[in-house]
Amino acid sequence: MFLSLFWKECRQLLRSITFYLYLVILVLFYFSQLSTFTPLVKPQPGMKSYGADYAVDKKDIMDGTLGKLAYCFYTNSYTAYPMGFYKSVKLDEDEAARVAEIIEKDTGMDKNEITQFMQKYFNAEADVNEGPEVFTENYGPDNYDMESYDPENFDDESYEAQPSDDFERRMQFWPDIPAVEGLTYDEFEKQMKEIDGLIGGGSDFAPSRLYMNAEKELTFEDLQKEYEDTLYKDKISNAYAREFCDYLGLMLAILPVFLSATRALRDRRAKAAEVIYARKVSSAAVILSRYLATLLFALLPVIVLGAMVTVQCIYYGRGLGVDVDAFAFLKHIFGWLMPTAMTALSVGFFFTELTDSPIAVLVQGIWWMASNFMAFGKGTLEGSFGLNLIPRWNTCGKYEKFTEQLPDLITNRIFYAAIALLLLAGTIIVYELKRKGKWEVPWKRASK
Amino acid sequence: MSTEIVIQNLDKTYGKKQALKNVNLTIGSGMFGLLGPNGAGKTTLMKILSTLLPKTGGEVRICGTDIGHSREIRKMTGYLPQDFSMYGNMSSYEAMDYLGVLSGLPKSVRKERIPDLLEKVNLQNNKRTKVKAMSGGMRRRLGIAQAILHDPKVLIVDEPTAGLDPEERVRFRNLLCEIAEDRIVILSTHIVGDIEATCENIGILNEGRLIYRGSVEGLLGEAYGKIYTARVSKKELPRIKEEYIVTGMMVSAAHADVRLVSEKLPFQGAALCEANVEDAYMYLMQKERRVR
Repeated sequence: MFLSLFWKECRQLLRSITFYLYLVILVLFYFSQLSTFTPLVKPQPGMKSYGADYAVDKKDIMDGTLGKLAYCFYTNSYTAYPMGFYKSVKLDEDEAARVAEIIEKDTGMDKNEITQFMQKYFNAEADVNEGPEVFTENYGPDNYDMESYDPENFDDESYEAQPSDDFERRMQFWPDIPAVEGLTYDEFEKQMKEIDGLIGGGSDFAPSRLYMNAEKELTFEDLQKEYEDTLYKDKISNAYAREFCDYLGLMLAILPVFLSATRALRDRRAKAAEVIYARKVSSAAVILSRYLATLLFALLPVIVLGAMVTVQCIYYGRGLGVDVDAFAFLKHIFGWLMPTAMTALSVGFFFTELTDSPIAVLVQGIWWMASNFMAFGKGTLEGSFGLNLIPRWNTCGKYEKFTEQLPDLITNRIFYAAIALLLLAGTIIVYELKRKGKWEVPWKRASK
Repeated sequence: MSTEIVIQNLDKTYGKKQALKNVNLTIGSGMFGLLGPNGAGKTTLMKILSTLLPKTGGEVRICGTDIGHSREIRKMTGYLPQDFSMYGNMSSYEAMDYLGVLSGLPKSVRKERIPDLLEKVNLQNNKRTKVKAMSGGMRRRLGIAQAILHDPKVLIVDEPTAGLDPEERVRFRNLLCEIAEDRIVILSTHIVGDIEATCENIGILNEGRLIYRGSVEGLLGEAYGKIYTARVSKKELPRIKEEYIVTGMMVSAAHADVRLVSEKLPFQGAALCEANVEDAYMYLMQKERRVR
């Protein structure tokens, strides 16, 4: 009986304008962002630069952070992202004095020495570069000067970088200032936390963001290893699937709420609610059949798009003589994207049943924006998953870095799957109460 | 298992407002009419019987089963709400099939029963007609068909004829009488004509209280000797309307023929006449108002 109900819900979705709007927006988004299959870049020895990445060594992080702190003190301009929003902060005299105190304690340089040091550094930089470079996120191996890949020539090998290619995009434009001997990382972190508090939180000196204050130059060996990891450990398709999930996650965190909210509102709009309430069927069967059908239709176009890229990966891998994981996209869609879609759907069903209004769209919209601002606020779109609804991995590759963060991603995904299931259970309870006349939207009750 | 509905000391309140007050009623097989003005509590009672509203107090048993066992009750009741419709993009057959699945009917049963029921409600040529393209009357007929799809012992029909044209109304009433042959049909309405044409037994609700329960004859008996007709001048009409409950009036150029309720001879020239259900209902309502 449940299957009959499920298929009937599927048929209803096939006739729903909302579903076709969902489909069009999703597909347009995909083709505007990811339509070109970009081949991997095979690094070549003897190049001018291989780009840079965040440092991992704690000493490097301390030196880079102290340099940045000194620079911010020098300009009295601190950047913060409270609640994910960009904010430029200026400290008052007392706060600046406290910052100077900490810098002196950690580097041995007093405020006059800092000013002199910065002036000297930037004058020298200006002589060489005609002014200090500004911070840019366009750094690292992702931004190799690549030609777009012709998908019809799958037998092409990887694009080989040319020695003349200029990869040097420095993210760190401030100088390193070495920390004094004996300063432990824990102590340093505590002080940076205090400074972050002075700035108002969410600054570059928050403990979770310190690693972004220092960079390390990449070498040919680094890139070669990463390239080989993508070919042999990621089996090509896993790397592409992560980038695919990064983009599609943005859409699946918002669009499905329209499907579920319109489905839940439909009974009332069609004046069919009471007739359905009065049937023998259990509330769990009604809600679950609707939920599963909507989830299937939310994921179907994603699966089709994933299958398209899988085929491209297989042809590409064949050209390189590398085995490709044919199920990588399916695994990523179900493991990575499905909890996001489930959450958006659950929010839609729960809040719509609870309020008999489309307020769920507003709730999910706010959540979606907050998630995006949080990701940007972290300053990286590669990992740092935390409990963000939309896990970002805006790059193709970086197997090792991803593997390090995989446990966090798994925790994140389990958390959201659990949230979605809780909301789903809540929806069933609210629906059952409504069927028995034990729940009524407060403002409707008040109007009686 | 008994085929009756037993309602004892039923109360229902919405916040401070009491919608039903100590209602006691037993309903057996056949058509039962529930009459009352708008806001009398008819829909509240219908919804309690359909498990769509919880009672505040008292006891209700449908064919021996307590109303608290909603799943069991839903198996044996069919409900046609006041404002019935279904998804506009479904055809009448699809709507029936969907609701049949929700009633737990196997495919084979649905396949057999749906065409029969559509024929019974004269929608056999509208199997593919979308719900949104149906007239009000067609929708009500579809509503009846869906309500008896799972062959319930009790059919609860709330204000089914409101807004129907006379022909549709007669057709609909006849259909209900046919259906009531082997089950309990509760017809809630504020249209006295519907009750008069179809029900043997009735209950009258007013402001949440059951002010009459019994047969239609019994109700007519209540008004026996209380209904008069008279021919009066048009000038006298305002005074008569003020002093008496006028249940009917026909005005011509020179005079007016009125039908009114009075405990004794109202004035010279008035003549006693036989009460109809509408007269009796009006008499009862007037008496109720006087008592309160």
